Amino acid sequence: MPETGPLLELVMERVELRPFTLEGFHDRRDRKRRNQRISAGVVGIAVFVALALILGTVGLSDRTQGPAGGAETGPTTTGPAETGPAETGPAETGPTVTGPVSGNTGDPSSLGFGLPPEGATPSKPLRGELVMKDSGSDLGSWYAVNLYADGRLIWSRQISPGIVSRWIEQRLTPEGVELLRSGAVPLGGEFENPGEQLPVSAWEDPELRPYVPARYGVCFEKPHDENAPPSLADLLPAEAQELLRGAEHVVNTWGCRSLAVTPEDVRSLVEILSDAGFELIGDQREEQPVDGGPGGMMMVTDLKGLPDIELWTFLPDGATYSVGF
Amino acid sequence: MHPGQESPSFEVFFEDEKDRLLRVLSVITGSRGEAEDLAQEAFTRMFERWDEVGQMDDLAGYLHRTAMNLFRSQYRRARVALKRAAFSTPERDVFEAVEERDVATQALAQLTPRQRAALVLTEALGYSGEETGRLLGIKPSTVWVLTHQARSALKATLEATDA
Repeated sequence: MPETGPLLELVMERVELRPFTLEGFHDRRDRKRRNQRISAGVVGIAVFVALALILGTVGLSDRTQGPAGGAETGPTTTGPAETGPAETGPAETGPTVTGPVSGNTGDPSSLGFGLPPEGATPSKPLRGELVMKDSGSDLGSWYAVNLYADGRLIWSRQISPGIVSRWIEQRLTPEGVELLRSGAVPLGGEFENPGEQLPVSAWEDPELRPYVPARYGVCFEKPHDENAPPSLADLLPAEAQELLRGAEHVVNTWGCRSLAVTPEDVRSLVEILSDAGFELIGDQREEQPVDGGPGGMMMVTDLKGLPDIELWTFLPDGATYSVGF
Repeated sequence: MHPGQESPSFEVFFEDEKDRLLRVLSVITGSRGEAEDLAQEAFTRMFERWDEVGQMDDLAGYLHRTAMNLFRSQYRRARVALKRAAFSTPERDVFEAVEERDVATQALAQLTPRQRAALVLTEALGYSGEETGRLLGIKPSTVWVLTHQARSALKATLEATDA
């Protein structure tokens, strides 16, 4: 076989280039800048019109009835029907009373993405009863917020164009859970912090902390891919197979047969697969698409016969999220 | 830039480097259109900061780093987009344009863009494993794996053709 370097040089020399002149370069650059200015203008007008519409709508409706937003938004109460609103009404706690969170939030964007920090304690308990959830994608602003009976408020939202925060966990007191479940205080998924209208007494721990899932899902195949080999895990390096042996088999919300592993195991798996030539995608902010939600990662490979591997997070109610693959 | 040495104008730098960059990117991506887009953006980023960038010692190296960063981002976005089946793949015209008897080119076409990138950076541009790792955002060990896979695949294709 000939030397690789000269062979590459030969191939590069044979590439038939099209004209790429300095004049053409400046023309393309000017055209792009002009298009960007036009796009920015269009977006600005759209935002202005939308804001005008929203302000008009807010003026006509009672703000405490629920979060404002498009047709896709709106909290859903999933808790037991016997739990009524009642004991703590708006008059006592008042949706306008601002809790400590708005002054103590930090910046969700600084919380990072992807693999949890080494030694991070997984969120407890493993499973939680979902009592309320809200999600929406309105005016290009994505958010999702889940409230659990044990007081966990787990949420994520878009923090800048194309970027969403990772899952963030805060802890409410039973009173705080009840305030939200009853509707006395709106669960504001579209707010900077969904619980920002809660009173101080509603918080057990208002600190924004990265949600560390107790389990990650490792998905080896495309959803509903009937042509996929029965056990793609068998094609992985022996060390990875050993790590995954005995892991619980689960099917996630989009139908991917997966293995459930601990945060430590997913970290080891990433290490093993990286050494085998896989590349981790999604462990950086820039790689988080907006519309699929946060928290998932993907390991891509060029190895023949092996699929890309999706790594996704479990929320306490068993819901699964990935980065939108 | 050495003391007393005048930095080149952007125009001179562009003319000196454009063909080499386009050829490198064409082989890595397999698409002339994609290569032109990446080269356009890489030159644009340098042009807009030329007062600062133009003083650097290794301008070509900076251009390659910028282009590889863009390639990385684009490649990752494409992988994600492909998963969503909402991505129209650019025309892979570089390897299709050659005649079938051009075995070397056909062999290279069998590799993935990442394998070709690792190979081109180490073998054609002479970057070390560490430098290539930094350029592609991967570990040096992964660079080794990719180049090893690429060489093995090239060898297999060329030997099969010889036989």
